[in-house]
Amino acid sequence: MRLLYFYIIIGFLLILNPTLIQCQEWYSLTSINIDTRDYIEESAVPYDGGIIFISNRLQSALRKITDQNGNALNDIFYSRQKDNKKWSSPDEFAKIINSKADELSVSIDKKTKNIYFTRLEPEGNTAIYMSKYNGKEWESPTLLPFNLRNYNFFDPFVTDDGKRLFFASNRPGGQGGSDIWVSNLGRSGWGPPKNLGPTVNSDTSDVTPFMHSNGKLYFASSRKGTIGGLDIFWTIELNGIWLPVKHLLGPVNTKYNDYSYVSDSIDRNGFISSDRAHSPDIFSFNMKMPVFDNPKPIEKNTYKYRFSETSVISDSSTFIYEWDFGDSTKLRGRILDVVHKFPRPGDYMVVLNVVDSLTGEVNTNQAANVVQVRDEIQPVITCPDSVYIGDEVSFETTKSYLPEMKNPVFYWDFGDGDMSKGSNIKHIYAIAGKFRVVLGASGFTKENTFNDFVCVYKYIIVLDKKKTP
Amino acid sequence: MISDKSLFVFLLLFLLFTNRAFGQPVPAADENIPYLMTFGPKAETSWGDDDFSQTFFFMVPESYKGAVYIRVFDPDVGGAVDELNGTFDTQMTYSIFGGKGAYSNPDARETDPKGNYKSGNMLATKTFGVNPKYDQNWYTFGPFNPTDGEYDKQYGSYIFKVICDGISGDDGNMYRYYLSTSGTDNKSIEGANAFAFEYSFRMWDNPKEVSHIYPYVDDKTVTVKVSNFDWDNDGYIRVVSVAKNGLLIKASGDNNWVTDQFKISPEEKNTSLDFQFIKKQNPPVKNNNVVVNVRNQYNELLKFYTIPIGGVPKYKYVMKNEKIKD
Repeated sequence: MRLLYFYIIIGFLLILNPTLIQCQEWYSLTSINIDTRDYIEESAVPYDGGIIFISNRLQSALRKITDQNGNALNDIFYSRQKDNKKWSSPDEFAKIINSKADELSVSIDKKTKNIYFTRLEPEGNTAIYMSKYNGKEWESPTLLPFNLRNYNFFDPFVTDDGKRLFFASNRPGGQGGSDIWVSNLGRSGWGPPKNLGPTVNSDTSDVTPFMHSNGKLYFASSRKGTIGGLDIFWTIELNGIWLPVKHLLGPVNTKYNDYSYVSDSIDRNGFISSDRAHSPDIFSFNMKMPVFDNPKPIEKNTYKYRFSETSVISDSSTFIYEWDFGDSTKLRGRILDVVHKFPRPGDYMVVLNVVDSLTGEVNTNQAANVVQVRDEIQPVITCPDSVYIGDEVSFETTKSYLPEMKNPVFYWDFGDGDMSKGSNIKHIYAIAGKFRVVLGASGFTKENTFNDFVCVYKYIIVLDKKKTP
Repeated sequence: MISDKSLFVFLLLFLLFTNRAFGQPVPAADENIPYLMTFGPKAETSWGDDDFSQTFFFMVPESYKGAVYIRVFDPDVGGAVDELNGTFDTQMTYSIFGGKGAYSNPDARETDPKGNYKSGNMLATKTFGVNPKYDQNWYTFGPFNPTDGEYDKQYGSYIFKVICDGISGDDGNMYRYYLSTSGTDNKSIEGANAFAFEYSFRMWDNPKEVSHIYPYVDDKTVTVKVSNFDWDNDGYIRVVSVAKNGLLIKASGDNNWVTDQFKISPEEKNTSLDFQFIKKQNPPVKNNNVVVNVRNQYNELLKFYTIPIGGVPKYKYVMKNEKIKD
């Protein structure tokens, strides 16, 4: 009977919040309280203690904004996060920006507060506008110069320094479908868009770019390899080369459309949009992967010990000391401070025998210690010191020695932006260089208290076969 | 704060518990000394005796109510054990003292037989010359009532003083004592002990034998000054304690006194020291006699207990280890 109740409760929870069970592994996802069942809430952007986002919700109970065909229009809204982590009832954001056309996505320059957004043009295409903030209010939006008639320009994202604008467009010169482009801010304004190339862009939809200050470019794509619809991918530009894109880890991606990734300064908390629960909604996420804090270089196992008899204050050299290290080696002499290197980990009974040189008497076992020789307590990365681009490299943890950790879980940061979890991992480096591989471990002690996350690092050299003699 | 008496009683109880205080042979087993030694007054001091007199004290715990006997082994001067110098013509007098002043009189607690060192009530005395009856045999003084000794409140014991004086002649008297509950046998008194302020004794001829004496260091002792006489450069004197694994001190040559001094560490307070007399292995010196006394920084003599207070001190080696980097 209890089991039946349990299943009923779980079923009820799933009906209330279908994402609850999915939120495992790398991220935890939560639907936020401004989401509605039937209206669109999407493309959240953190701003001023809250978020601005796109919605076609009612402006108020008495006011419904529709287009000529009676369809509810998308506008930009703002909601503040309250002390109890709940979100306030959304308000229309900057009336001068919201028009009688659809506003579809938005980005804000953190320094200038200038707003970039997408608007559905009367001709049916979308274009990117900018509304300048004059210190008091936003001014009338202006069309950015690189928009082209008959082509869609949308999903703008302006970088933290305000000097680069990523966006999506199906303009000519792309890889097919809509691609991610970037325009740089020059003296005379936004420069000509540059396609990010075939590594980033596919022949399907590549949309909603977000460039984090750590260099990672997140975007959504319906390319081959998705779970379904749009999925969120990321890549990073190293030495002028975009690395092969990676599917975002964890439960972020589903068979539905998942897009509009934005995150905080440490790239561990943020928002995505997804239509997994009927209409598009905003989900907040928290990365569950531990922080690789102050990793240390891997300590070499030496098994070297110093033994001393420090309390002797009156030795008049009438004794000869024999150190028996318990590993079939002995050391004799008038020395009470010795260094010995054991051959391998183990328990060694070290005995101090004292030979009286005046009487010839041998006093055995004058002091004895069991020395537990162990490896350094640390996770250990086992991998080649150097590899070639494209090699499948094994990263193993088998030499780790973590006696206080019960079933440790290992986390990897390969230094090229990619991370993973597990004891034995395969990884391929796409570019040459020197990468710092970080391995962290966490787990519970035998007393079931949580151990601190401990991490180590090791450098790996990735060589380019073509450039290696 | 632990009083001296409490500490002493505790240490005695410790000895009882460890079955170490059940005999009052003088010298005691742990000392590994063959004989006490006193020469006739005509002997050259180069034979090993500086003053031709030796004083020992026996402590009987106040809890013991029976009769006590003080027995002397080989009290005469003649025969196989004693040291012949020409012909045996030496006389020794053994005197037992008790009552007030026997122990407490300062003259009784000095190294030399001067002043009123025979203080207290003489309970018995006997003089021996050559006497085959007692050659390698026991003579018994007593019985004595324990209360015949001088009561010492600090130690909770009655103390008897035994003085062996060389009266005449120049031969060496080798002898032993035993504090017994029996007049005919050596039967121990639980908790009893014996001590001297100066120890005059015969060494073994066998160079492999190591003799020991155990001065007791009280809690006011900071430094000690060791004096030894006529060791004949026969080897080494080494001090072992709970804090010293083997401190060699100066040893005397022939017919001279040598003094050495060393510090007492805090952990040595209220423990005994082990003075080891280690003979040279080659060539062995025979019939070697030595006299030893120890004073603290106040010039007070330390007692040599035949059963070391706190047990035979053993230096405890402490091994430390630490992992080090390459």
